[in-house]
Amino acid sequence: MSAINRNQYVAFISSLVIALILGFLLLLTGIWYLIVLAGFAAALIVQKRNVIIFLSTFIAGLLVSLIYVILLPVTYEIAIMNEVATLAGISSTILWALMFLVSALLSSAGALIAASLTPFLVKGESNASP
Amino acid sequence: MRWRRIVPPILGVIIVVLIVVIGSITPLVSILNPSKGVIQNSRNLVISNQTYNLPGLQNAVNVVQDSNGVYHIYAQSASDLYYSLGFIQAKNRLFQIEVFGLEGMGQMSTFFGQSYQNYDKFQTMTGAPITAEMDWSTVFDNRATNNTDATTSTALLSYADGINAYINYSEAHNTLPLLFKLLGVTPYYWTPVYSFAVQEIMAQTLEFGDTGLQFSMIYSMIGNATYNLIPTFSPVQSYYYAGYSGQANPSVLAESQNTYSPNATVISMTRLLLKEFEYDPPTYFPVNVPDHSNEIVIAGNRTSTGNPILMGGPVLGFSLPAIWFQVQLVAPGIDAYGVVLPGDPAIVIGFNSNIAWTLTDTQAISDGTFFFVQQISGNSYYWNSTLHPLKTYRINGMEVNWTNLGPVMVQNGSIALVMDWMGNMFSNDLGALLNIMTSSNWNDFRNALSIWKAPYQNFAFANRTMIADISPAFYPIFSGTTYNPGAIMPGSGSEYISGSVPYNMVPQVVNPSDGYIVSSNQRQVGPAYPFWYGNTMSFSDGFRAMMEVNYLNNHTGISVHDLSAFQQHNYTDYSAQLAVPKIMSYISHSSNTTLQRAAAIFSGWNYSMGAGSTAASLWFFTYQYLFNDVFMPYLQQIGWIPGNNEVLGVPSGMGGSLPNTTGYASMEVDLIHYILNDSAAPFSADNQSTMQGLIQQAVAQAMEHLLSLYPSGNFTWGKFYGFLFPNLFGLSSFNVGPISKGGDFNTPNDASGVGPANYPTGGQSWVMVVNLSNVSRSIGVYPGGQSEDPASSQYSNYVMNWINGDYLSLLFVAKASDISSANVMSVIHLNPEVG
Repeated sequence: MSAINRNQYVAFISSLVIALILGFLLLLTGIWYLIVLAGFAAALIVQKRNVIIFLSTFIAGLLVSLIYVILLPVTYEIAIMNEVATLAGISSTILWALMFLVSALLSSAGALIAASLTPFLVKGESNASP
Repeated sequence: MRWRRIVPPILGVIIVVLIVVIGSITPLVSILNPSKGVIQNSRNLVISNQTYNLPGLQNAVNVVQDSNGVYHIYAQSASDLYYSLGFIQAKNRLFQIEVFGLEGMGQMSTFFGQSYQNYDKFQTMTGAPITAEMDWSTVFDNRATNNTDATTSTALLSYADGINAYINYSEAHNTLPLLFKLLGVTPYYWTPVYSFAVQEIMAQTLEFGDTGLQFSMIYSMIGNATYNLIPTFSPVQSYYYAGYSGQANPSVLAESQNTYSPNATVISMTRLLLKEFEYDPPTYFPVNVPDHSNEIVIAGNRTSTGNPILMGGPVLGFSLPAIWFQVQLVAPGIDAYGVVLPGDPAIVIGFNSNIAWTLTDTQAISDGTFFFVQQISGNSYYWNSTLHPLKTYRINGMEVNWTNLGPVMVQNGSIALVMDWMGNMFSNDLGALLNIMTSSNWNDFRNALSIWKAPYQNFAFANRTMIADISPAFYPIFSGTTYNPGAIMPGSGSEYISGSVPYNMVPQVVNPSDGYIVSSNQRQVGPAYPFWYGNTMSFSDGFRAMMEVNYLNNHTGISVHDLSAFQQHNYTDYSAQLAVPKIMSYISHSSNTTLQRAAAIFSGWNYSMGAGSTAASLWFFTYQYLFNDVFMPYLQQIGWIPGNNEVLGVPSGMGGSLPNTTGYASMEVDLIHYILNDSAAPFSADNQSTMQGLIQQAVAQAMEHLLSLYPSGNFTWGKFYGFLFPNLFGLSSFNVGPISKGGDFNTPNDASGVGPANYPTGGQSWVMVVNLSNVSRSIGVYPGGQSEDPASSQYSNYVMNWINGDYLSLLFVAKASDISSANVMSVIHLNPEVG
């Protein structure tokens, strides 16, 4: 693995872990929107290309939701989501997808917003740097 | 490039804004929130041993959920007992409890929006919310000097604390019931006022109505002919559990047929008020049914055990969650088993180690609702030519004016229709029921009920050596000119309620010589009873009670199993038993091939409305067509249809079984009487149609209808009859049914309706058979489940038991430790919160 690729890999993992941990902790408050801050912080700390930041924080958001799901009795969660889906008149698959997607989008949106600030925080370093 | 710096943050902002906007206009974001949303409710579905540390508990409480899902609560004090009941009931049924409370207080729109405003407005006008507040303040203020009020006060305050403890717990743990999250509402804290509001709702369900208004409307159309259409006494009923058969008391009969004639203005106001009754909340929540309840008590000399057996089957609208919640309550001095209502901590129907009891509706006395015409002048009303100030209550953002008689329901200039509803009297029913739970004999039981004012109920009683029944209530005695109380009366001062039937004169019987008591909504006392007691408009037609009496007269050595099988699987229609032989006499010798075919179907029929019977279908539809052919031409002639059916309804047989029709018990009684007496006069179309002609026509119409649907002739009754269990909150995806079963309006499992458009949605909401030789060998089941959550395994798990008549054993155990592990589903420990 070249030095550049290793660097990107490390940045990806770092960003993912930061966003995941922060996202999980912030979500304990019950305010889902706070996951934005998790992605924001990850992007500020790990200043890399937008693609890396976006993907890592997006996946982190997915994983935050996943952790909450697996901490609960899964069988009954499925029953509950089926119940809600029946009431809403849509497929429960869509509801599950939405739940993961919203987390992922909030986290990655935070990262994208932070990406605009990094040039001002670290002088002379561009977003395109490897 | 510049766009690489601008686009990402803009995109990020757009994403966040979109999600926030969607979250603000739909509940989608909040309900899908992984930490607070609906997936957290999955924890509510887990059935396992649990421990809760709760503020307000004095000592530890053990709650055992048995293998049937019934909760057995073992506490060390009454206050802890009712606290725990509140907590456990809220854990399973919080949304239902809260909605019942709002319904009673006329505040449904706080949860469900402005579309419920009319219901809230009507509820407020009835006075029920005012009465609920008055009931609680009276009980609370009297607790130092009245033992029953003290017991009630403790129970209701503790119960409220328990419910509120669950609210706090579930909010803190993000496990509020699903519907709160979906609606975006938060629960309100429960108070004893809401428990009395639930009592008011039950009083409204069981004893509140507009029959007085309807009677006046009909009287304005046909005058004294009303007494033929709506006789005071049934020409068919012969069994009155409390006696007084024989000739009609002349003064009672005279009073019943001295109907006040209001003028046209009052009649138009009556029409307006009748339309308002559409917004009576119990007409829609839960689904209200015109059907009737059962209670049978059998003395020991007629049972297989040598001790009495008591059977109860209160008929209410079905719903999921069901209206009942099944518990055993144990604390020092208390050990009772039975069913409680959402929002009230007293066992309504059940047993303890000494006695058993059940209830049916008396349906007497115009449903306890009386109407008066009063003169209003500004903020005053006239009484005996003197002006008195109106009393104005401000509640739910409305002003409701009361005269000395009750709330002003509708006003036109200086004329008002005022309602005097017995449910607005102070009545500590909850206290009476709490005392019944600890009663050990008939004297205790009877004394407990001496304070019962409304709703009018028949209380069946049994212990190891005796059977009894009593129908306690405030039965009004009218003084003055004594107009017919079953219609609108003048409210100028000439007519007023001067007292009530003395307690020793209310319908009651102890150890009758028959060896049984049947009180299944038939008129309790015969025509010789010296007090006005209503007319045939409000009672059940009595056929079901007669069927039950027949069964008991023809059977001895009855066991618990026999009685449960009778309750759930005996589909004998007594009115068919009376009428079909007559029908056969008119059709069996006809040359008409259709009638011959019908005769062949009826031939040999045992009058059972079994699901596999074609004769049952033929009887049902013949009855409906005959009912229509006899009454409809007359009703059209007098202007009932179409001019007044909007307020009086379109009658049909079997309790209004056809879609969008109404039951009139008087007409059911009339029809059978006409069949048996070979004459439909004066209500046949032209007084010339013979009963033979009408019956032959009805049979032919029924056959034509059935063969049009099933040309092969396989029109079995199960294709038309079955039970639908609707979700209480109108979420039809979570309905259960319709499920085919035998029976009809006149069978023990009384339910009106016919599919496919009008399946019965009511019936015996709790079937219970208590074995007084050993109450631990009692059985029962209700069609529903202990949980209100459709995703729970306890939502509708009892439905098929009920359909199939598979009663569950009622585990009655004095100590938690005595419940064998094989009978335990879960154990819940409720501990006092430390610190």
